[in-house]
Amino acid sequence: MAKSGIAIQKGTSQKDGKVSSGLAVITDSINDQIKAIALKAGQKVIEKTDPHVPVDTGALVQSSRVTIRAEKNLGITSTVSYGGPTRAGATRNAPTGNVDYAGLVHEDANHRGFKYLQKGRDESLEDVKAILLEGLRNLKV
Amino acid sequence: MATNPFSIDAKDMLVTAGVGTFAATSGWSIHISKEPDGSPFPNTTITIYDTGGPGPNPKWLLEEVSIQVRIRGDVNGFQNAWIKAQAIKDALLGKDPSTVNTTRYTGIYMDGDISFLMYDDSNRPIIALNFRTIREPASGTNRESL
Repeated sequence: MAKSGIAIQKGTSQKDGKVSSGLAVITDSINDQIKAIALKAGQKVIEKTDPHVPVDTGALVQSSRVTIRAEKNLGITSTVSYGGPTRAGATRNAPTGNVDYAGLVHEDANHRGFKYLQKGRDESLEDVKAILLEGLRNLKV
Repeated sequence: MATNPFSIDAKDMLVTAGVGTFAATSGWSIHISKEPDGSPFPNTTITIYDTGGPGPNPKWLLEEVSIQVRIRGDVNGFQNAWIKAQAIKDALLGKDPSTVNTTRYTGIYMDGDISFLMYDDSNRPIIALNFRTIREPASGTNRESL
């Protein structure tokens, strides 16, 4: 969640250590906003990908997720993935409620759904660029 | 002359590099878009699939397209299949800019590295590599050369 600018004033009114604390608040505020933008971009990729995902029991399509990470040297990354725990629960294809075939379906040229995520990613590129540009233009510091 | 799909130009690159022979009935047999199964083709096949790419540039003759190269080895022949995958990687990845047929290939990259997929129902290993390229077709109705 974005933090208010009031905390920045509190930080700058104190000693050096508090100044850096204030700067951290600014950074946190911007980081939170960028994380929200990255999440929105990832959700757009899923929106474009889902129609390419083959559906039998629905376990695979219900295993999509966006993971937002803030890492020191990489900045903020948004990763879209399929596989692992599925919101469909236990199904015939995923009896434990865990999809372990997402990669195989994606890479097997003889399988319906070949390259489903790559197709969605490619189709969403222009929308993702627009989301990032709009989000960055509207950053509140 | 029409612009070839990346798969066909990549096939020609692999044939030139001595990695395999197009539609051969022995040795490493290269195919496009459909993996053969059974006579007269061998188990050892290399099949190239076009896998799309981001929307091409509408103004300039510039495209970023991708392929998957799928290797099927002999029955339980994982090691030789992997060696062939490595040879394909070496033949395409980082290749100097060149014109193949009519298209200028400025760079070839890999998405991920060599990946073992599975054994098929006949216990033949299946290994996949994914490549993408930036290329400049020689002509296009509405687009201009760079």
